[in-house]
Amino acid sequence: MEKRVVIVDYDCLTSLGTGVDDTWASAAASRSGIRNIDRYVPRENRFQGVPDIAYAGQIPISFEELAGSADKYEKWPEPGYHAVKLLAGRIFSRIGFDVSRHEPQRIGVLGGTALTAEISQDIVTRTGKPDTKFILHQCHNTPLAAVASEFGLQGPSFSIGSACASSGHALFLAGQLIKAGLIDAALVTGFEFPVLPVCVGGFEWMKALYRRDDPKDRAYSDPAAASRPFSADRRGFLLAEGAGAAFVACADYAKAQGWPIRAVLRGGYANSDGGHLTRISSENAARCIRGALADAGCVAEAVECVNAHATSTSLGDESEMTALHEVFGEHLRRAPVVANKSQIGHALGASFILAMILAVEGMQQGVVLPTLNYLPDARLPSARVSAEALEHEHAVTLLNSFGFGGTNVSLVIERAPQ
Amino acid sequence: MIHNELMETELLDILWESLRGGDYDLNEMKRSIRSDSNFGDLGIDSLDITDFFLRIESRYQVRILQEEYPNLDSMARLRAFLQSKLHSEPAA
Repeated sequence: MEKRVVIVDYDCLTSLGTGVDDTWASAAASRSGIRNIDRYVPRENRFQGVPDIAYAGQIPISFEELAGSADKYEKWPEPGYHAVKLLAGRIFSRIGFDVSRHEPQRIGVLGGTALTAEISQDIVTRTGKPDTKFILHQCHNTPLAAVASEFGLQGPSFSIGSACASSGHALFLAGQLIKAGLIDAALVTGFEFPVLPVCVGGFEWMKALYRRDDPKDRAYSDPAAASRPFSADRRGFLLAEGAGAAFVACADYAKAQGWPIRAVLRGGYANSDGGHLTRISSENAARCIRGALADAGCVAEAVECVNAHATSTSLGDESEMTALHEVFGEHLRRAPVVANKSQIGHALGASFILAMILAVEGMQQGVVLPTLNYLPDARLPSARVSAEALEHEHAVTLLNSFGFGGTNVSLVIERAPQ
Repeated sequence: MIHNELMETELLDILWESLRGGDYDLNEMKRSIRSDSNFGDLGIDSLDITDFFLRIESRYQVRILQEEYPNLDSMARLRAFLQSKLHSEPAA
């Protein structure tokens, strides 16, 4: 019999909070984490003369607080490292994880990020100060290795790079490793800290970001109105900091340990477009979603909520909604479609795991979060998207993530039996 | 030539600066370190030793070659090495 994969516990840092509870409370209260950038001074620190990008999502603490002290941050000036260690520590503490009670080779640490490691590079470039750990900062698996080292985990440990789909692929692969019987459990993380001139500038060159350049735009004086997935007036995404971690395990193993079970990872699928590097192929996105449904053993009508990738770009949202309509048809008018990036911004490689955490919370609480700022777009297939939070009992959620390079991943998760 | 004790005090200050922010109990280390304490036995990470040597290079304007690292495993050996360097090389 195939092994079932469960989500035991999770935690996060988002632009709305420093943990799951405050992130959820703010999200359910329809708040936005998007605000004026203050990690640096956008008007002064422009990358190669790129125009002013004013808004982003930033975690509501300084990097020094995240690290535990100014000395610790100076010692290791890459926030992803501290974020992953912090989240792992919280989760392992809550579930009473003690590696001596397990086979260390069967507990993995996987993660995903798109651009992390730019911050230490920026610091070295500006200060010219030698940093013996500089190369380690550049290795995306270092935060995972730090967790493995701290907790004595010796199972597979590696980072997956699939741009904005990275943590989705990490979760998918962790599930496959468990199903294959290669590991009993894994900590899966996603982390991203891209709010600095080089990342902002690079995305602006692609014309992918919301730009505050029109006094008539509804977000000109209101950052919270800038991220508008699926809306008729969407104008690009809002970069965001964020990190999430989830501890997943074989269901039988989790039960034997007495661990809580928050949700079941029913199935997933991954494919790629083999075509354009940045434009989503709605045909292949639809194939990916169908593959996930087939792997989960459920028909489209069994999906009661869709957590969309939905970054708020014109073409990307259109392709995704087209793909969803192709798979779900009229059912899309009944099952709510939600875009968490409307509230927390786009945390790139961390975005999937953050969405997964919010999706599980939503299933447990019977609430679908709002897609803030939503104004229906007549050019898109009709779907149940709401600017307000919805009271909606649901037990099965589909999550999508599509990364640069035309790389796609979809997962189906189910609320844990009550 | 810098007096032995003065140099070791200065070297210790540089070492604590290199270790600041790391996962060390610096108070305990400050209490227990001796002139002949082995850096590895004190639990100091090899990259922090490298950072320490980089700071020393900058402070004393000397070059410490990678092949010399294994021999420079205590304050006493490091001090002796530096004094021989400073004695034999003109300041940069």
